Amino acid sequence: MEQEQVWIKQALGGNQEAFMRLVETYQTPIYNLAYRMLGNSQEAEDAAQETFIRAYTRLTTYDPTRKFISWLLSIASHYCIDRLRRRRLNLVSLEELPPWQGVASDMLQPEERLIENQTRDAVQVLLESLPAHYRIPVILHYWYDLPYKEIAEMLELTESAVKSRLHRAREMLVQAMTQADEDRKRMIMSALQTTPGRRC
Amino acid sequence: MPALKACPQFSEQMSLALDKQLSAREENELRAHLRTCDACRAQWDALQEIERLFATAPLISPPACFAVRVSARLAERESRRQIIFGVLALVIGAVVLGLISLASLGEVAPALYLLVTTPAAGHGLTVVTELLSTLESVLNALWLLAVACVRSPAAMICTTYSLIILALNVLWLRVLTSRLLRPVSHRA
Repeated sequence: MEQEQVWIKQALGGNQEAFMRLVETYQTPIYNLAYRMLGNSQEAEDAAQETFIRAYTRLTTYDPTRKFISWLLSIASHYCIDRLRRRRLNLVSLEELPPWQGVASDMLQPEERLIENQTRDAVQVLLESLPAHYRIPVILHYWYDLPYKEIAEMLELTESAVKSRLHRAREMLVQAMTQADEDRKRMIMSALQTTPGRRC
Repeated sequence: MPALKACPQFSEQMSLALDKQLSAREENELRAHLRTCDACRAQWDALQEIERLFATAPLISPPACFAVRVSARLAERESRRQIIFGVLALVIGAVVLGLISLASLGEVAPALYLLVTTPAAGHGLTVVTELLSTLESVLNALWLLAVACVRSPAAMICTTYSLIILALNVLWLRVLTSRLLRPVSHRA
């Protein structure tokens, strides 16, 4: 913690080397948040990089009484929410384009898409069923083990709003899981019906 | 998986129970309700499955050399900012300097025009004389200011004014040299 404060002070004085120590320390939690929010590695890397650039340029606004990681997570959260909002607006305006010209994850090369699909676990699929404003408190709660109060401060919400969003998000996750189960069952049933019976 | 909808009043209690936010009495009430309500029990089971899934989901690490790419992007951004800032300082400084020079060279302009339109040795001499006269006026003004700073009844005001002007000039020169001459990688 003391070392962290020294790096912050040095970075405030324009020392980029000191700031890079902070990047190395917090790159995994920030990248994870971006990946969990955006769902693909290209956008996640870009968002995580942008988070650190914003942190560096706004370092004078950092309040040393707060945890540095909380401040970084707050910047990353707001940036990812904005990015998802912009992506939704782009999707609306690109509706008439062919499907291969859609969101960034659809523009990947085949081998990149393979890696992408392998890393897309069940949790990620469930997360992506949530709107951005419900996804972010879920991520902050489950991966960073943050209490309602801290999540509320980061997202500039009241504690009761965080509580209610988490509750509503969990309901949506249950629905998404139920839907996924039903789809899976339907796929198995349709596969069984189309498979020709074995002859004696 | 829940096919029926859970009771709304207990649905929120379940979420709070997962976060250990219920009192012992509220938790007992919830447990008792779960024993009798199939829809709520199904939702509770699904919620616990989600809890298990999320609790075991790992933190995803960035690709190799992530920090190096952040550093490169930061340097690029800083360099762009410095160029914009430097150009702005240079333009503002040049405009101000130009205005001051134009004002003091006001008397030289007619002689210069005459020299350009009808080149003659006499006209060249007039331009040089006017330039020297302008220089004399500037030096005279500086001398008067220096005298005013020392002897005039408003010496304090004159000195403060001179110091402010001097400080602004030094500041502008420093901004120019630091923004334009120092390489980005040596800012540390």
